[in-house]
Amino acid sequence: MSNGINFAFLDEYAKREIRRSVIKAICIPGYQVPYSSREMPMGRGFGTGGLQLTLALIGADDTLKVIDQGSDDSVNAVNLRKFIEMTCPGIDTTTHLQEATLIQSRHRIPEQALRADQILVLQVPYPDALVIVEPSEDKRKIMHGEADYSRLLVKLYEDIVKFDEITISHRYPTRINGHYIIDPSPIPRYDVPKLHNSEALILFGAGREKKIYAVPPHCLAEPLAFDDVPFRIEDFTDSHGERRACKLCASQTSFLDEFIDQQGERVYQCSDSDFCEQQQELAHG
Amino acid sequence: MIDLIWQAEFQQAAFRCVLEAFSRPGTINTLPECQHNAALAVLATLVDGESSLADPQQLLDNSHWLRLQIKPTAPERAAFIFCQGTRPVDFEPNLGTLASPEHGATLVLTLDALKGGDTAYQLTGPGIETAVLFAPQGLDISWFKQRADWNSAFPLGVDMLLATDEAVLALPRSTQIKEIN
Repeated sequence: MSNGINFAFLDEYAKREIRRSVIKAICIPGYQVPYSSREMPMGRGFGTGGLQLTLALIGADDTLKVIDQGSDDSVNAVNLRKFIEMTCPGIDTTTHLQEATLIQSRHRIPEQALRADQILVLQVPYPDALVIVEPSEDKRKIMHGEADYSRLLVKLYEDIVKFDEITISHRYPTRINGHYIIDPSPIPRYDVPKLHNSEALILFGAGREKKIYAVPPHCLAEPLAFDDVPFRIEDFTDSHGERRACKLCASQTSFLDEFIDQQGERVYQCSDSDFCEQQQELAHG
Repeated sequence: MIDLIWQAEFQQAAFRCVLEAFSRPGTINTLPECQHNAALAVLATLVDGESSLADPQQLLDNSHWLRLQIKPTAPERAAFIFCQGTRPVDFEPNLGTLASPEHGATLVLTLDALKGGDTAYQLTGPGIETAVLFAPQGLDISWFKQRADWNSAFPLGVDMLLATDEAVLALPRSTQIKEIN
């Protein structure tokens, strides 16, 4: 206890409800478990779903890392980290992936592989992949239950007819354990294969839409595709056919952000700042 | 002094242990030390007045119910069902519905030991890399027979947590169980 605030801000009833929902989410991989999503001292849409999961999980011996778009220093990550530090006395925070036991992230799965003793919590704005084809939630719940995704496949097919490829850049629909299709949150396509056969448990929290879902460790996760139009990730090759490298660490394998520098030139650098810094440290001995 | 299992700090640590058990079915997870058996600690961690609990074999006493802030529910309607795994099944749990499979019950069963039994089972499914073996001691055969029926139409079904004095092992509805000789 500090300042009269309960450890991890939420009252114990709220935590228990989230904990019960998390367990059902793991037992039914990919199913969106509804929960009450309490009022938080920040607006819904600022990561309250991920935050509530983190607060229901965290204990004094945890080490937390918070990421926003790959960076530990951007505003959403800083605010959430400060809030959790303030309400959870005794926990440690870190920017190094290897030190973290609990990782809350927005829009990225870390570049380096997660371990079995880590848990990844992703913030989710829109949890339901079917919302683009069916406005009624009652009907979507039946479609999910029956694993009826024909209309979603038609949508992808129409993309191919119009543009010769599937044009979804992020939030790529992914089938979990051969049944439910999830919206994996706004991670790039590059991160989608990391959901498959992950060592770590991955939890998804949508605060505004009041849903929790999970991809358990070592679970089948298949991005939706067709036999003759396979899933592909972002293409970082330049006009000479070479893979672009990060301008800071020279990595040719990482997911890159594109910038325009002061001279008006296009430059590329790692989206995951922790990974990039570790690569630079390695290069400089 | 309130017993440890009713305190928030213990429940957080116990929850992480239960979470690990459900994430990796078939693994034996030791709960943080307390003065009660693991099953009661799990109920204290997960059940409160916003949930429901059935105790068809009347294993809990009045002081437990007061602490849980809840009244007993019939097993057919309860979210959690607490039983001795050594006795045969004599109820039909809630399996959830196609639209809301999360209403399928969680069964918390007490057992003497989670390994060293005569019958071995092979477990496969989410959370298991290839396969794990599981040989519980004293589990009445009716549980797995009934489980196969209850879980025959995924996503409907029940999730099981087997508990000894100090450890738990989970069998989510997504786990496939095969008896091996």
